[in-house]
Amino acid sequence: MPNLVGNTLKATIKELIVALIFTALIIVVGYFLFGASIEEAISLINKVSIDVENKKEAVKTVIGEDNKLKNYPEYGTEYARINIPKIDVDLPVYFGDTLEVLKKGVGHSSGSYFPGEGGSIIYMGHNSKKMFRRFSELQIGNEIKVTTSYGEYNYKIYDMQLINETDFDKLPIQKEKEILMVYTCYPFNNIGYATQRYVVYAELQK
Amino acid sequence: MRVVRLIFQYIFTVILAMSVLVLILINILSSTILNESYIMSKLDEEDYYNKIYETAKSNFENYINQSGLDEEVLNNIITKEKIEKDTKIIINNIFDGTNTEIDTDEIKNKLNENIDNSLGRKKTATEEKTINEFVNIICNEYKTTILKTSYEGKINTFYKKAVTTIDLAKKALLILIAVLIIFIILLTIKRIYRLLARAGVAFVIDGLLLVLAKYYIDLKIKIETITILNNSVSVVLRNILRDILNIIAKDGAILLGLGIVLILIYGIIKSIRKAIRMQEQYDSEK
Repeated sequence: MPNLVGNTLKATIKELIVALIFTALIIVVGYFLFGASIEEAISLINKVSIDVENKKEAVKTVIGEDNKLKNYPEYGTEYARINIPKIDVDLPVYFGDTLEVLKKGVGHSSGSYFPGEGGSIIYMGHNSKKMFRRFSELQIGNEIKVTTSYGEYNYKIYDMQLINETDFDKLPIQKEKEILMVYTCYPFNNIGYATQRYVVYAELQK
Repeated sequence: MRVVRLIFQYIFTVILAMSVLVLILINILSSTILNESYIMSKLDEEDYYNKIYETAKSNFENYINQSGLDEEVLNNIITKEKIEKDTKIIINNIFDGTNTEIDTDEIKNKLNENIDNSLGRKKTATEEKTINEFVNIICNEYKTTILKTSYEGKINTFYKKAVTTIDLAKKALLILIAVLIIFIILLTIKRIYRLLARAGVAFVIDGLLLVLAKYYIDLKIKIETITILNNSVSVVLRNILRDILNIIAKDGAILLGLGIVLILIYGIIKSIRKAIRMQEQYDSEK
């Protein structure tokens, strides 16, 4: 009887070892054949993973001597305040330009530069009473102050224009001169969907 | 000759293992993401229509600030029932190849009625134009939120191709498995109980590969945080992926268990035969 059990175990273990060896071989061969594609697929899937619970601690945005920001603000977060004394505007500025961002305050077009970087900065906001409804009262020479976590920037209005929503060339992105462009929907007391934009152009004061 | 026969037995065993593995994976796909009623049941389970209803309302509100209209104009322009009906239309378009359009007239009429009531006066010609634009934008936003795309036809073509290929592959694999079993039987004809060992080894290989694959995916992919399109879609997708992984783990465990049992039975038969042989030898010597 002990021999029977012993022989059974011996035969079983032998076959299981064979199965383990073949499994290992299949894994090794599979890795050599498809390893790269599998890794690529995994990284692609992980790209659409947003870990909201283990969010990284926000790193303070600073500006270097080369006028380049270090640690850009996270998309959708507030990083500055815009103050336009002439029309009593004092609003938070968020990095991003989705409608969800615009519901909270002024949006910063993600394709444009940040204050202090020396290029075009594009801000936008609704034409509601709480925001830019009084844009028509602005005049050339009025001031716009942007206070960020890394510095304060003062701009002076030098132009105002009425453009169509698709006139992107009227909001040029350049890096020669620091220009702040703030726009809102026009007409200011519009009802329905506005296809025109009222843009205020301001340049940085040294 | 005996060694060659053994080598062939193991080669066929590995091919058998791979064929069974592919068959299992194909079955998992056709019973989950390629199965219309499975998708429908997942949407129900996750309260998808209610969640999409809330998402749609929130997306509409994004347009209110710039419209100069009161938020009340959005009241009751959509219903949960409409979202359920339209989502089912989209799923039918994808799975059954129908080409039914989403009707937004109901939304348009209700929204126009709410705007008229809110204004309390006749619209000017300019307002008429901008309000129409606003209404169209809301209707398009509705379609975007319920995931109405122009790609349904293309997805249906892909789906049909996938189903045809899978059906063919299933048939081919079943034939291959049958042929392999016949070959293994022929190779073990003198000791047919060895078929149990070969089948057992194949099942253990499959079981181990499936269980390891499940743990590898768990380790490498953060399923809980996958985010695609919107939260409601992401939740459904995450649950489908979790379901697939659970099926993989369950099938893997069953095959592993079954494989071990078959090998054990083989071991028992082999040792009994050995004992009988030894007894006979002992008796003849006596």
